[in-house]
Amino acid sequence: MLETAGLSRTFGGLRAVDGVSFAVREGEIMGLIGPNGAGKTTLFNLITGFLQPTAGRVRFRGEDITRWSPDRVTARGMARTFQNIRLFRGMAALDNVVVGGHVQTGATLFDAVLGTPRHRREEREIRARAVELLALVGLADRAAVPARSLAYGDQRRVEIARALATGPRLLLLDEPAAGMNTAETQALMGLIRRLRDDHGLTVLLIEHDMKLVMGLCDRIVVLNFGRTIAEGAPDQVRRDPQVIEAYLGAHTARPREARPGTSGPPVLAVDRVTAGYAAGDVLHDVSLDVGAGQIVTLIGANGAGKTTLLRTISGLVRPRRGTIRLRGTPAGGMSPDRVVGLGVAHVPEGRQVLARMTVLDNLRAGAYARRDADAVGWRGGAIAQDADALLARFPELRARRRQVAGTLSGGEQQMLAIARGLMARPTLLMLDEPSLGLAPRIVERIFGIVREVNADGISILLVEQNAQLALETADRGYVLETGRIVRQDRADRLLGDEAVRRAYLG
Amino acid sequence: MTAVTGFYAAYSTLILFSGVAALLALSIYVTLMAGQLSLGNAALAAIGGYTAAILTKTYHTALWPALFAGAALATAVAVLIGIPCLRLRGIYLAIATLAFGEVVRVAALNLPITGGALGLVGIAPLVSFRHVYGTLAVAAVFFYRLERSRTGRALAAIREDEAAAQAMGIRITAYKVLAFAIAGWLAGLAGGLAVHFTYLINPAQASFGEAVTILTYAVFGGTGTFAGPIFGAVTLTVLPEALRFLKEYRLLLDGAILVLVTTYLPNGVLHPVLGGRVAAAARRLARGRGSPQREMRRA
Repeated sequence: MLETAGLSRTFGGLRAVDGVSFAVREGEIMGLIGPNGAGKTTLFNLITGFLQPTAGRVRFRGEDITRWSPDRVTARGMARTFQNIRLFRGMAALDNVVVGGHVQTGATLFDAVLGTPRHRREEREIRARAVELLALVGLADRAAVPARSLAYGDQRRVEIARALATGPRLLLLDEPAAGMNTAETQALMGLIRRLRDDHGLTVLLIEHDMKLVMGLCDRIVVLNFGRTIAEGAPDQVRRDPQVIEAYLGAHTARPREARPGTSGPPVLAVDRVTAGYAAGDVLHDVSLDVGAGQIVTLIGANGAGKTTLLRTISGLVRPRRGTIRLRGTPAGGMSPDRVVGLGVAHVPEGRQVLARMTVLDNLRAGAYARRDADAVGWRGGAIAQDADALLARFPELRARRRQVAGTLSGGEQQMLAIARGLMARPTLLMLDEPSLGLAPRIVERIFGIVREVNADGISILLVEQNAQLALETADRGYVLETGRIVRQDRADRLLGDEAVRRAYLG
Repeated sequence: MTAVTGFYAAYSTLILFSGVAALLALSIYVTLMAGQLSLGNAALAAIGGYTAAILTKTYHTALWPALFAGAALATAVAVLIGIPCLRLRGIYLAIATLAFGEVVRVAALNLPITGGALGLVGIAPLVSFRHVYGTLAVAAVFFYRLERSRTGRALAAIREDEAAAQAMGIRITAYKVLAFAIAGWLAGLAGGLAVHFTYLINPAQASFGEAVTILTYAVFGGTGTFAGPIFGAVTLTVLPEALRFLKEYRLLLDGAILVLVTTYLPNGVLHPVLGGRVAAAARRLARGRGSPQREMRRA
């Protein structure tokens, strides 16, 4: 049904998808998995025409569709959903699905203006079809609700109904279960099975929820650093050592010896915090401490709520319940700039350096909230000195200090993001996925920096996909699963723990 | 003379201007339907106006053929400008189309056939109420049907999310060009109609100020449905006359109204969402209690 041969795509120097060849057979449900940044969504975009490959071919239903535009691909019988839901937000749920009927109809503007029978018949048909499809995904009673007002899980299902309205033979689902609760995920699995069994669809899906992938898929392809590292039945893939390593990380550093517990109040104390977004709570009763001088890591699968917890501590998300204390000061619901003032530096996922500013200006921006007396001076105050000191620590950045940050490599951007965080002279540094999309050698360097920074007395809260490496670096670890802390212990005891493996691979 | 004809005699120019303004507002609305902020409509109207005026004045063409010729030329220009401009988005498209307007203005200023800075004067008085409002009525029916058609849905989908629209199999470039073509046709027609009751046309009619005025019609009235731009155009054409007693403070109040509308009614005065809110508020009042939580969720 679908076949790729040597499909590749580079972004600048990064090989996002690197010679991927695989095939989806008619009537099967195939899973596409891999750690964050492995290139899964890029591969979807290459197949559906949203991105042009730099090399390789795509064949679909016996036709070479390489470099076709997305609308042609859809017309040929391939429909997709998007990772970060792209509904027509202002339209009602039903109207979203009706738009999906576009390629199934052909009435022209003249038909509509003149009200020809063709226009009227088609309108009747696609409305009826849209009503059926909404009922199929279980949203018949939400038809008139504007898409933007629907709950997150409902939005995902409207997207599926909309994709089905294009009359596809192959359905590509990008993280269909993201943001769904357990019951919704169960219902979704039933739906996908019915689409295959009753409607004869072939399904290719990207998903991080391993229960879904392992329970639903006939075969699975695993991607890491843009390459396929395994392909086969769920049980086979789950036991593949390369897959386990891709997800949990390999043994790279030697486990650190346990350090004595710290005295005095913790730098950060999160107590029974519940928080989330308009669509629903992501965190439930989460409690977590970071002691002075400690490295604490928070691990868990994608969508577990790790980033949301960091954002809540930073003041970007308001906690609905519970308290957050920073060195004893209540900080729950405080604005982000005041949290920074209390000595918290947040290095966000995906670095988020100020791409159009130079390295030096990025560092200066990191010191924006500082109010120390000698921060600025006639010939460089403390801020300038700190910037010099950091550039000395990061020779890679020193060489590029006048370069615009957007032109740095991923690893350099990650270093810059950390250095920028340090410019605020924090007592607590929060790192969100610092190893994301970086080659092992660079990851090693970044984690070396984390240990160095910690040796200077700065406490660290580390969110990391690479659980192995994170646990080898940290003093203590917390395992987060669907918004709840399911396990906490000394990091060396969590290493090799079954709960950790389950949290990632199901 | 009856009251109606007396009223029309006194205000005929204003009434005709309102109709033309409504057509211009619809011409910018059709591109906004596809999420494209194009500000070339004043220039397209000027192209239609000059063409029709030259045809009736110099070549003594009949009115409708002259109007259609002007509209056709404006359509052709809109498509030619539209195709390269569709690579641009948002504010860049607005800037590019404004620049196009300047080109038209400067060309009109310097070409012998357009009469230079003075423009063309003494154009035959061929247009009356039925021409302007007949055209507007046809346009209104057209938009009513368009909004309820496959084409209208495709435009709305492009406005909401281009990538998702493409994933639905919608050929977004073709539909954007179609929107530009309809905009060109309407603007060209409006320009041709106007010159035959103002009797003159000059390069200032392709100016930046005119382009912005047309945009304010649509923004003021609301772009949720075609009735919004028509309402906005008529209101903003009539309002300055109604406020004439304010003398020099008139522009001040004009500006204040626009600021208030854009701040407090960002969707315009006529909008389905606003209508829905008013209905919901009425229902709450009827039940005798408010529901702040519900409002929060909606926000």
